[in-house]
Amino acid sequence: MKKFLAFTLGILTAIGGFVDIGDLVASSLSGARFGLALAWVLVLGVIGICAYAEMAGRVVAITKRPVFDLVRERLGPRVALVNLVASYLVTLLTLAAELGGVALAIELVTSVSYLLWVPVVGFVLWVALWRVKFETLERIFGLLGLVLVVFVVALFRLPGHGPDLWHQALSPVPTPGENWNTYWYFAVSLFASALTPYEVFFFSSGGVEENWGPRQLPEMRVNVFIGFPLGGGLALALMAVSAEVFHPLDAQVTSLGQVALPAALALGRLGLAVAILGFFAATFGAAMETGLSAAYVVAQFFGWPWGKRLQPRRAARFHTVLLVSVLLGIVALMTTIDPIQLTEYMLVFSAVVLPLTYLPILVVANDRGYLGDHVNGRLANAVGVIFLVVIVAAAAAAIPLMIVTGAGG
Amino acid sequence: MWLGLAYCTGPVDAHGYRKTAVQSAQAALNAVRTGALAADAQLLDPYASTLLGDQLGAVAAAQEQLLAEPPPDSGTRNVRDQLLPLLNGSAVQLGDLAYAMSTGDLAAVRAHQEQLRRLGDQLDDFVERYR
Repeated sequence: MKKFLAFTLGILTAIGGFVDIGDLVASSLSGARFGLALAWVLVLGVIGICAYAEMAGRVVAITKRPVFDLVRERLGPRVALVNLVASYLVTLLTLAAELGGVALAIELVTSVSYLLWVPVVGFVLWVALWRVKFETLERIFGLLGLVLVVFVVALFRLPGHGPDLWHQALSPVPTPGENWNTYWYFAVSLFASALTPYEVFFFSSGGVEENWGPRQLPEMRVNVFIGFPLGGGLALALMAVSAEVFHPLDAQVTSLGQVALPAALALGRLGLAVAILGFFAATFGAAMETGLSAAYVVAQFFGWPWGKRLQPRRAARFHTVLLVSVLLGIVALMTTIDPIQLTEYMLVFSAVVLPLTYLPILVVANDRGYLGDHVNGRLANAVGVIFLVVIVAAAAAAIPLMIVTGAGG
Repeated sequence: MWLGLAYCTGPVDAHGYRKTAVQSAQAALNAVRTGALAADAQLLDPYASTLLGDQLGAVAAAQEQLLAEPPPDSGTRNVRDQLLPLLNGSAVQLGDLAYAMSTGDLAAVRAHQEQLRRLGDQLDDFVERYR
């Protein structure tokens, strides 16, 4: 019974923790502009993150070392340094976007400018990461993020266009008034939102923090193969309600307030309040994950003591990088850049660096020196290689598509 | 590269101006449609003021974007003259809707919602025509 509860709690945390500012923005924007014509990309992205998260989790459970640590050892410090710089910068950008998301969520319930909340949110985040245990943080915000299920309920409460949504989902082409360049630009953004690099750094480093071993493999796999797809279902629900409310009116989504509007239309003030709570939990949880991930990658590259399992005094450099990263995120937002636009750019740059994150995982997961009999099987390799091709294509297309479309125009 | 930058920062031609006009119209369309939807929902007061404030800001930015460049010929002057009243009307209706919602004046909310829907249809036509 205790084991069953642990499994259930793990799955629920994985579901609630899946959605972040990237998913909120990319899913709603795509739903408004293309209906469900890009739903297939979300499904593809979820399959990809499942395949690679399972590899990363397996590497951690067998070697008891995080993936980034092994990347430096396996590929050498020079290649790993390129990986570090790209990963850190994109994770920092993601952290800034998540902080902006939290501040915007608070603005929605206070009507006080998000810019005034940014330093407060940064401070609270830093205190939480300094004082609260890793497992507590993960559980609280993962479970709170589950309230985003309100968008699934809203989908069924909104006046029915079910057949239209099915038709859109089964017609993966640009809708009238849109072109292929914009379609592919949004496809790349959506794909990147499901595979954001920090997710793997956090997942693998979190495995070490929680002391995973071979006995935790089944639990890890259940979390990945059940929790992540159900979490992807929340992102799909966000896309579907946006498709139902905004797409028929030719209206685009440009603010976080608009993302919550379908919940208010379907479920009134209660639905709206729950949706905003979900935004807060999803973005604050992801801000913690990205803050930690930024510090993880740097500390693991340089071989410093790292992690929440150590007293801050014993992992001083890790906590310093964490603090500096949060400060840089605050500074980025105080330039008054729109957090939603920042998120859109973050997704494009995430797409560009995806191969640097996922190729090394595939390499390490095939190394018998580390994994022994637990190396990738044929199926894992087939899926991994197919996705690597897609990842490289998305990385190559991301910047040209951003230029050609004027960032989605 | 320098020449390329010089070209990009030069005065816009008729095609560029129409593109800017369509972007401005689309931004206003998003705002008025959102305003009209908000009038249908039961909202928390701070949320309503933030949401409508964002939409007003978007229309103001669209007006600024359109007026930042002089139209390069008589055809584009005509385009500007068609769009400006729609943008102005959108800003006025969104502002008045926000006030009506904050005071709980349901009759005024319905009246402004109707105006926003009409403006939305006109902006939609504009976007379709010049896209």
